[in-house]
Amino acid sequence: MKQHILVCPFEPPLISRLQGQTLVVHVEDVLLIPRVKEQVERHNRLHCIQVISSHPLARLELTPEMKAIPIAAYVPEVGEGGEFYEKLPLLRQLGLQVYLAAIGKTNIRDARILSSLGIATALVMEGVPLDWDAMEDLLVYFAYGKSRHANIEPFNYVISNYSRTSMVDFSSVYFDNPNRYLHVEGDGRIALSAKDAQAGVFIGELDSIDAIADDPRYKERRDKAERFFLEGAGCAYCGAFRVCLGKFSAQRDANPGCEKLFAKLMEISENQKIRDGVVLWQP
Amino acid sequence: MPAETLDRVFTWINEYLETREGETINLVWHGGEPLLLGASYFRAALEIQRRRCGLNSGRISHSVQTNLTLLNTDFISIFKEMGITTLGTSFEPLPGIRGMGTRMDSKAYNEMFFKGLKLLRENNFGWGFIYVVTRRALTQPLTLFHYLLNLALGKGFAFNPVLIYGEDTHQLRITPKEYMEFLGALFPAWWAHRAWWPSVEPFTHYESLIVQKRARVGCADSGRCHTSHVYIGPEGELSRCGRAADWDIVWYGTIEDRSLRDVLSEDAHNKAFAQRNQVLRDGECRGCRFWDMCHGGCPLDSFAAHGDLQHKSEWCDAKRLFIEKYFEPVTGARFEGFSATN
Repeated sequence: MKQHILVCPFEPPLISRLQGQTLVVHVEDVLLIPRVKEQVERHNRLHCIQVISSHPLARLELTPEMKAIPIAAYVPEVGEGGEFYEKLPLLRQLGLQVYLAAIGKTNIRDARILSSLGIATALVMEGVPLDWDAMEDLLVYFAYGKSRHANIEPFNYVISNYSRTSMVDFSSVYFDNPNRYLHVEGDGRIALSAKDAQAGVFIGELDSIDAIADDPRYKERRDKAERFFLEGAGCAYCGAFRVCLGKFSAQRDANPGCEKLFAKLMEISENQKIRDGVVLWQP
Repeated sequence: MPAETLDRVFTWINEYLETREGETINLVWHGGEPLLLGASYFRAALEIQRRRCGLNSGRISHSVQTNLTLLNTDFISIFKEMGITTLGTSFEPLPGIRGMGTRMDSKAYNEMFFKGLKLLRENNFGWGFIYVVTRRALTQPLTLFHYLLNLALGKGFAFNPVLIYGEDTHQLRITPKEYMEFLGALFPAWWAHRAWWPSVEPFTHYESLIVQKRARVGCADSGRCHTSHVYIGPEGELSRCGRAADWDIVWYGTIEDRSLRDVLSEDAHNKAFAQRNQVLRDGECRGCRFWDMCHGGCPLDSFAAHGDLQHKSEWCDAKRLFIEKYFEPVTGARFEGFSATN
């Protein structure tokens, strides 16, 4: 399964079993980051370290030792202003992408601030009630803002990967695209997404990882956007379907606005050149 | 078509190719649904072709128009051997227009279509589809267009108006004007995004003719379809084309009666077709600036409406109106005929 990147917990015996693979390793304790890097790079390639923390960004115990380590930091918020600005010089030196849930206006506003300060940001959009207008404002800032700023995902991913001949699945930003990522538990069981792993839905084991691509469940998940074409009405009829793939179909009736945002993103993708700037690493 | 008739067809084709150096033949397998024949039928056809046509086999290409619902790996295998790398198909997302059984189960039908489509993609086959515009499509042109664009991605597709000869039992018929307005509702969006969106006929065709000034038209608009197309039925019966056969309006005997060279020549049977150009230029199409790209449209439309070939198609005005009302204003180009630019 060399073409897939494996997402796994930091368990040295597991990582040893995954020799030669490219890994995303997830931890809760940010202080483990240097150890993870050292362990993984013995016999693997490190794609990034996913830190899932309950602490605000301002309180993460990041250190200068962590420079040049690709870090995806999932945090609930940026945190208290003073603490954040004190940490800012260090944050700007790290290979850091900050993941914020796109809940309410605060995190969306803070994503813009982070970007303007040169810190790459990703907004987690699925599973949260979205303020589409605020998201669109952020998109316009990202795409057309004249002052230099860092990437904002998933906008950057869509613009960078927009193609005439294929759909764009920005689930990759969140390591949840089975075309690219598989999730491996400590005991070697394999899931197609983090959500599946949490729900105990597994489709195989490490020993048979090479056969997973032939598993009908894998193919069904890989091709899940197709089901929208079989529905009488809905997302496949949307002009922006090719960059959204129906991710917000569940809230489309109660909270419409996705079409407008993603149509705008498509328009920008068609017109915009890929932004200059530092690209730390790509999901 | 029984094997003996197939054998005779390839002999008949080879006789033609032997006397026409440099010419090629494209065999379009059409139905109904050609895949009902089974993969072994196509394998047998290829063997007969090789046996009867020998070295001329290299001048015969094949195309298939299928609904994809019966596609399997056996077909993929034989199609590759036949040199087929792209399949033509058609698709209808709106329920109740096409489906399985008397209840027209569109969902089951479309599931089989997508299964076939998946097989094409897995085997690196190209594909393109036709969307037939019916009355039910007229209420939602743009959302339907988005659906088709999402389905097609980089592949092209074509709009065709539904053509009903006889009674319209399902109330699907549309007028030329309605078809023109349907296309007009879509064209500005396609033009604005054409660098990114797939080829959509007839928009791409008009772009080629009017903006790029390339003088290449399809059979229906060529004024010369009688020299380029032949339909061969399951018993070897000959007609002008698939549509002429479906409508049972033009027959030329059988492959036993006539050679292919005869059928494509300007003889008595084709005289009415050949005369049509002059009749229209002097009459209904006199002075029309779109003559070079249209030639009065498909002769069969004339036959369906008037019982003879000497009238222009009822779809001509729709074409002209679409170009004048939508295409030329949106693009800023103007069609002046090919003779002015050649």
